[in-house]
Amino acid sequence: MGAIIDNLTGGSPKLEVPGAVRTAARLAIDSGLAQHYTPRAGLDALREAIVAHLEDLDKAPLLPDELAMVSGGQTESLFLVVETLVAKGDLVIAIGDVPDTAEVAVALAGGTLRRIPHHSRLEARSGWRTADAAEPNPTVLLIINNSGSSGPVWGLQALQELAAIASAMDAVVLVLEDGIELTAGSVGQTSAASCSPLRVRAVRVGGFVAWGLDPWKIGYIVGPAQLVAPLTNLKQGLSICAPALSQYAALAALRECSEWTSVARAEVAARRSAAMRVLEGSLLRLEQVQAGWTCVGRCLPARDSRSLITFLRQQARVLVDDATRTVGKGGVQITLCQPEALLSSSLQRVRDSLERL
Amino acid sequence: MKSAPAAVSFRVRRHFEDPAVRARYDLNEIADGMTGVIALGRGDPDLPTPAHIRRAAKAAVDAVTLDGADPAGMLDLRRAISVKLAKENGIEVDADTEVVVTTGGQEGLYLAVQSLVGPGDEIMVPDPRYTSYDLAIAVSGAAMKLIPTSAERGFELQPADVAAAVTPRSKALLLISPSNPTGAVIGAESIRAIATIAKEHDLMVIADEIYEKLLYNGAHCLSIASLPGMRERTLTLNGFSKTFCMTGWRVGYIAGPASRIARIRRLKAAVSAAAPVISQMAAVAALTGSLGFLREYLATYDRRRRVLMDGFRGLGFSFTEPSGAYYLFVDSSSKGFSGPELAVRLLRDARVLVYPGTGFGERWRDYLRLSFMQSESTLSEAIERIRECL
Repeated sequence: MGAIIDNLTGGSPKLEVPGAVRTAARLAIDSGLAQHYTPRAGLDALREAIVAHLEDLDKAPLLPDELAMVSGGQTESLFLVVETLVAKGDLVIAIGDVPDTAEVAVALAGGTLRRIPHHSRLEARSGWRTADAAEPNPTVLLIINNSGSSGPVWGLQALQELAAIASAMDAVVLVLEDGIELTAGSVGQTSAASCSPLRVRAVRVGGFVAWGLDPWKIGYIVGPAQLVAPLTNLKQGLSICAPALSQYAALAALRECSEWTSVARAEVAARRSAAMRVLEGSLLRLEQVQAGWTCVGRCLPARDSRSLITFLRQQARVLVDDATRTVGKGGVQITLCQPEALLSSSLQRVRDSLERL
Repeated sequence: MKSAPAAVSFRVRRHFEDPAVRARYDLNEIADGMTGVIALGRGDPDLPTPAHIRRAAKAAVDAVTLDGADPAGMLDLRRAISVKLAKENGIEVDADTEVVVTTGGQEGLYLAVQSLVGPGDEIMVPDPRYTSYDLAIAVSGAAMKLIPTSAERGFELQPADVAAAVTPRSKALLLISPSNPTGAVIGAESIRAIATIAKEHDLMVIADEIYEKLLYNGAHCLSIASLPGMRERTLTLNGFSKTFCMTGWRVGYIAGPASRIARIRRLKAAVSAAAPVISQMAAVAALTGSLGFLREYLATYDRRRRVLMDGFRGLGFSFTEPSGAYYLFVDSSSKGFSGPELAVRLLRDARVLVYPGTGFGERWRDYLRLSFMQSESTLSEAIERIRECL
């Protein structure tokens, strides 16, 4: 039997689920509520709670023409939006840390995907349409990850510049914000809703990472009604509705555990500090970030990221992700998905192993 | 003061609007705004999810972790599915490579269709049909070739009609037995004949077996994948919604040859990643626990079926007796009404929600579908309301 590997991949912080949420879930099972279909756009009460949550987060009311619907989590949300807003010949530009699932979704829709590294997001404005689209004057969808999961955040100024680009291209912007509760307000992190010119053309995808509900497969999509309403047709054809149990759990999270995000933020901050502390001065140089629950870094002596990942799995019994695309050769991503003590122990083994590299 | 940004208009590139699905959902939405409606529309079981499954789910609420979030599904569940298929259906599949857990049976259908057909292909579908199939087929770009069934033949799919529908573009055949909306069961001899046709014409088969356990009057379902030479050309779909009364839990599965399943797993990862983990843990309990509850549930459904059939016979409607599922497909023209007209009238005047036949294909204007997921007394009351309304 092989040694146990500590898995620091996947991008989820794996936070604890609040007790009140678990209680609500058990009640939904006992009462029979969890066993039935819900409306395809989600429980009305949950949609209302999502709106109230966002208004609190954004410190602004929902726009009159904005609509919220419930989804089966971020992956499904991204798929629904791409399949509905992209057709053959269209161009999708994914800027920065956008999940790989976008590639399959765009291919299924018949579009062309172009990836732009986060650091050059505002430099590569010209030539996208003619250089990358299969047809002239394509419909353009921009995708950004504004959750702040990996530390660097867009910030209001960058969002405003993005809005100007999107406006010039007449593009919709798909904004991934699942977990933004863990980063909003720190180091200039702000939701897309704070940028009015962006908001009117943004479809925002959120979720319940901060309440530990990733495995429950629950999320939401908010945006202009003319974009969001048609998503329900595909949602119905794809999986009818989000899991009922998860919807009741999410409702409890928003109604009864709004303070939980502070607890979760503190937990993530403690893990982040521990990671920085343990790896400081090691051969794996982490980028210094003040927010987020993933860290990227480079190990310059490593031949490439794949061989480094194999080395760490074998020598440190720790699994990390490839971050070549984000930070270059020898880049890896570490998800802060363990409590502080366990994480420190895992990363200490990484440090010790690298000294033998 | 800042001026508001100018209104923006967008191009929604693909609408996925289906008039047949709309026909069902429009009525649901109207009914949601009314009080005292007896709902005979959705196929959403009212009997409780069996206690051992609920217990497992409650335990899972405390135990759930992302470790079960493999997009292909939890290995424990895939193993349980593999054992179930071998024991109950005569289908041997490898849990490691030949099973995908899906977010409900509907996603299974969606993924199966996307994995098999594309532009230029035809997929054959018995008609009337559960029209949510249409969206999956439309997204794939394939053409849907309808194979008509008829009341005269009990809505059972006829092998000769399948053979007649095959063209050089035919790539796949969708089977659902028992049928939604008719409750017809395809007999074993017909299944064998259809398997022969599939092999002759090199067709893939999607076998939707979601209602396999809901059978009456000694009806029996034969899994086409269990027949010689069919395992490698069949994707078997199933789920937990109907047998185990778990519609809201959204968990199902696809089993089939490894090469096809590999593609479906990649699609699944991109479409929605893993199925909800608690639902998967509950599903393990469903498959590994006792099926003792089913005898009582089936007896209940059968009594309800008879109440509904007796009631509609007494009202002068004609219909074909369903051998499976939990629907009655009634000929509304036998009382001089079109399906849409009568469905609206029953909802408005009798507060009884039923679906028009047009929700199951444009040809079926003269039909209604009623589900019998209500108690016998409620069904009797619905019949009385309808009698008064007519």
